[in-house]
Amino acid sequence: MIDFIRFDYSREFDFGFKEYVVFGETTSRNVQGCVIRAESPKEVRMKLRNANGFVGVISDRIEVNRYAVMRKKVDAILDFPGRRLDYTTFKLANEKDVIIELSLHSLLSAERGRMVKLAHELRTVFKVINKFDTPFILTSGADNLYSMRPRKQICELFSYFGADVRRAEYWAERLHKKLFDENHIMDGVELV
Amino acid sequence: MKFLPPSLRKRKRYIAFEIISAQPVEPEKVKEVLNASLLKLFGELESPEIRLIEFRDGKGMVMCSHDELNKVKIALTLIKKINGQDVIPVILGVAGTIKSCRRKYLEVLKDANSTDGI
Repeated sequence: MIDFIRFDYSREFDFGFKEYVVFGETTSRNVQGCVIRAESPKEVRMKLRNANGFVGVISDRIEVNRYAVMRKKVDAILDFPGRRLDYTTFKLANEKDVIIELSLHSLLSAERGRMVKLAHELRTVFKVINKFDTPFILTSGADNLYSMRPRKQICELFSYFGADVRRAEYWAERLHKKLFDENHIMDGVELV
Repeated sequence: MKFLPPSLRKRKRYIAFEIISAQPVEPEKVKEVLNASLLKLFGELESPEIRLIEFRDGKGMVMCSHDELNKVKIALTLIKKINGQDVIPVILGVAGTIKSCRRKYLEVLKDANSTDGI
């Protein structure tokens, strides 16, 4: 399993993840991710020209996320408190093979009433994800060591809200192959 | 009849957990924060009943009903701070009795010795 984090983690504790993709900070110990923060589809297009590696997009606007999903260079739509996605984006994510991140950090950082609202939203999100079989990944999304949690606990929490954990593991395993297996080209095609 | 027979008693589960923090935390504070987390998430009506059995050296055990196990696990996972300091709550495991919970998760490393190959 792979975790998406926002700081360079030195692996002091074993949280049960094989690899960590770091967004927003430079790293040599973990996999380097490239994060794009955008306010408009035009900004996404501009920033994608210079982007390389594993690209993740962060935006609180629905149209930006929908546009990002359609771009070939984009690998993931990252989660943060305030992210908004619509029905179309989930459907497109399946067609374009873009992974949707669902992080524990957005739940942890929510204030009193907001956390319950987020939990209700999560139930709807997982219903749509299960319907379209959208690629998704359950992560800690941590910005410091204390936001991190063991993998098993993250899976148990999201499964309570309706996540298909076995499917999430499948997508995470697939992403791991895509990033680290040199012989892997695409599903069912491999160099022998 | 003074006590309920075992077949009529509620089935219980014991969750062993560890709190990783820079400074040691007090058991009363752990109980207080866990109750607050449960209340925040599930409200007064749906909040499960818990009992902190023990808490020593950052490791503890909490008792709950078997059908409310997931709720307690979630509430434990969502704890961020205890007494103002950041913490990482780690669930070590779940058992059906206090004895087995202690044996499996809390005492297993007490006498561990690398020379014995444990």
